[in-house]
Amino acid sequence: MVKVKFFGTARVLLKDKEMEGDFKDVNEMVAAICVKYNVTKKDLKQYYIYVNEVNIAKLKKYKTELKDGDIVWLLSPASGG
Amino acid sequence: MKSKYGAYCGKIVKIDLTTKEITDYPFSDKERELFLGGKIMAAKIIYDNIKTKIDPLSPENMIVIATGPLNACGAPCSSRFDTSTISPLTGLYTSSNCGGNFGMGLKRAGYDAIIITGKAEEHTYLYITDDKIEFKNADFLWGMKTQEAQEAIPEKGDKFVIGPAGENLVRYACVISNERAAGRGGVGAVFGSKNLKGLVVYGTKSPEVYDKKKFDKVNKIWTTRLRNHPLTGAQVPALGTAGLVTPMHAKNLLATNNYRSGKYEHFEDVNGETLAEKYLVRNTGCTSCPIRCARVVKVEGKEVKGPEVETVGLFGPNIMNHDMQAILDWNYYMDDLGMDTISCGNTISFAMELNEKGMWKNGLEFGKIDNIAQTLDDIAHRRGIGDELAEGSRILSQKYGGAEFAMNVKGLELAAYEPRGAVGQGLGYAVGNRGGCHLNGGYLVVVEGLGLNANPYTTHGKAELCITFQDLMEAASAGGSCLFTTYAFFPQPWVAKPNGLFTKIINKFITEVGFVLRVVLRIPTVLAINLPHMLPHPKAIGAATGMKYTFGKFIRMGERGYNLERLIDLNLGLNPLEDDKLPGRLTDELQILNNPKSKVPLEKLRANYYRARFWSKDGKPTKKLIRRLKLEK
Ligand code: SF4
Repeated sequence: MVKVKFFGTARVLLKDKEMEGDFKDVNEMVAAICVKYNVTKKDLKQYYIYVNEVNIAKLKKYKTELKDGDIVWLLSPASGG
Repeated sequence: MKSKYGAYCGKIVKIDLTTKEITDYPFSDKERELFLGGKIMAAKIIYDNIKTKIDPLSPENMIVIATGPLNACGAPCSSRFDTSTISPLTGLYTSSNCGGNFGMGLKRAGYDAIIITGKAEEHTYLYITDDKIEFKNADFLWGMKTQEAQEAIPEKGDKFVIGPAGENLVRYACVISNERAAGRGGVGAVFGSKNLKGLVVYGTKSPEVYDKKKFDKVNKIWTTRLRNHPLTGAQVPALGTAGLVTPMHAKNLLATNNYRSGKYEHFEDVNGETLAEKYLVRNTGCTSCPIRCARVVKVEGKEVKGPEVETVGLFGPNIMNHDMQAILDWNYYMDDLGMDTISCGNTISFAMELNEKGMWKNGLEFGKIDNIAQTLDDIAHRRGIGDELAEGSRILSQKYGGAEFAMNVKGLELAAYEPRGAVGQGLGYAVGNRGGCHLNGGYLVVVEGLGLNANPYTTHGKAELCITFQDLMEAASAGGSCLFTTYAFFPQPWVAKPNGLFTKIINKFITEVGFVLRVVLRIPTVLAINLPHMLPHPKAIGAATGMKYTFGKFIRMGERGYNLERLIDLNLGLNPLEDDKLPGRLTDELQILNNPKSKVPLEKLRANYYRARFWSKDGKPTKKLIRRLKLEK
């Protein structure tokens, strides 16, 4: 199982903290989120995606493979002060 | 001295607590154009009056409470006012920004600023109304906490008071208006040293703006932008500033275990999401704010203000605590006792590490939280170890050692951002005029990982970027705006599509932006441009006052303010090469063992910074620059 955690405005949009599932890669995971929460891929473009604490921009982006036990984060850009 | 400009009251008074004399303080329209208001106006007044090193807790020190032209005029996020003085923590200039209603009240009573000097013979509070300032005996208020004192003052109006910490000269005591703090730098201790419990102001006037129609139009566009921007319209209102905890953890920026790490394994117990889901009663905001970043939570059954990210970070991960309710409780106690949560938390984590290393046996331990509430009370009343903790981390390190892990710069403790994960933020902490302040340091962490995703480790372009944001925030603050309004400066798509190609290009090249701006802003025609959608501040100031304010003039005014603060600090004995530096842990030890870039290459960054500021190699504004900024005596 892959655990996907939602943070920042992702949690506000999806109204959920996390979901679990078996996904081949990030692409498949994104598609599953879209189905489960009735959102579009475009909606999810506003988030950074991390796999095991590494930004997928530094891995194989949406083709980053996922395996059992992986933890994925969806994070929104933030500011404060 | 009356002003020809709109939005100003045209009156500044000097109140001498020793002699009880009240005199008008001259401030010309030429000076208003150059120094605008708030912290920059205050810096000008302090620069003209304090020329050499003084004891900040002596009657020689002065307090300047200053408003900006936008205060009380109806612009978004414009209740913020500044309290400036010489800090008992740093011995240097400090300016503390507060979102309570006192500043607006001051303008309604007809004052742009008040200057407080001397020392009252008896415990005193000041009652300021439209045309009168009265000295009132404060014996009955002395010893009261800040909420109780505000309620106990019988006069109607907006209050600004200290608690026991200020009375007992805790070096990081703050001053509270409503539930909002003028938090940093120990301004509350300066109040206490003058026997001044606080002020209450009640006014019936309303400042007139120069061009109401234009002003309303700018404000409408401005408010819409703040509401629609992903940061100020969604993230900050939903999660508050504690919404930063998760991205800080993700990007190695969350000060943990007294800045030994940038990650905390229990971050999910103390992040903004948990705060919102388990503890939030509702969000709220300062008057006239469409962002509403503030949290209302419950402490002992009462609805009170919730903590900011700084307090969560420094009383959570940095002392290895993941009990959120405890953080809410302590945050409330500190506000009520009247002390800065950042310096307090940081001093406690330093004491914990001293204890851990056997350098000062004090009973404080990482992860042990049952003695924290009592310790806070002991600090405010200077009892037991509290008396020593009340001195702040720098003085503690002079007594017990450990300067390399006493997390302050120039005596002011750092905020909760661990700068080895964002070296530009490290530079900002080091060179900041008021000491280790994330905001006075330019707050580059937003560009280096939280809002945007620029390379956090490169030194390239960071000095210029740091200067740009320092000057920008300086100017926004002087106008009377909350600094959060500057986050909407980033075009929405940069934030809304963090993985988009355009944003990637921006992230790659943003380190060039500061340099380009520094060059371009020297061309007079460019100085005349305006960016009303990205940065409405100059337009709003122009419409409110009648001054011809442009983006270039605005940022130049910020630059003038920043340099003026440095000149004050130099008069007070600042030695930049000695003082513009970080604790050794941040420059000499790697944050991540297998990442050789994970420490702050300060020497290089600092040399770049001095050069880009047009300062000498030893960190001082040159005569030519002083002339260019119209700062010559
Ligand atoms: S954003 Fe927050 S701090 Fe700024 S004015 Fe609004 S409520 Fe106050």
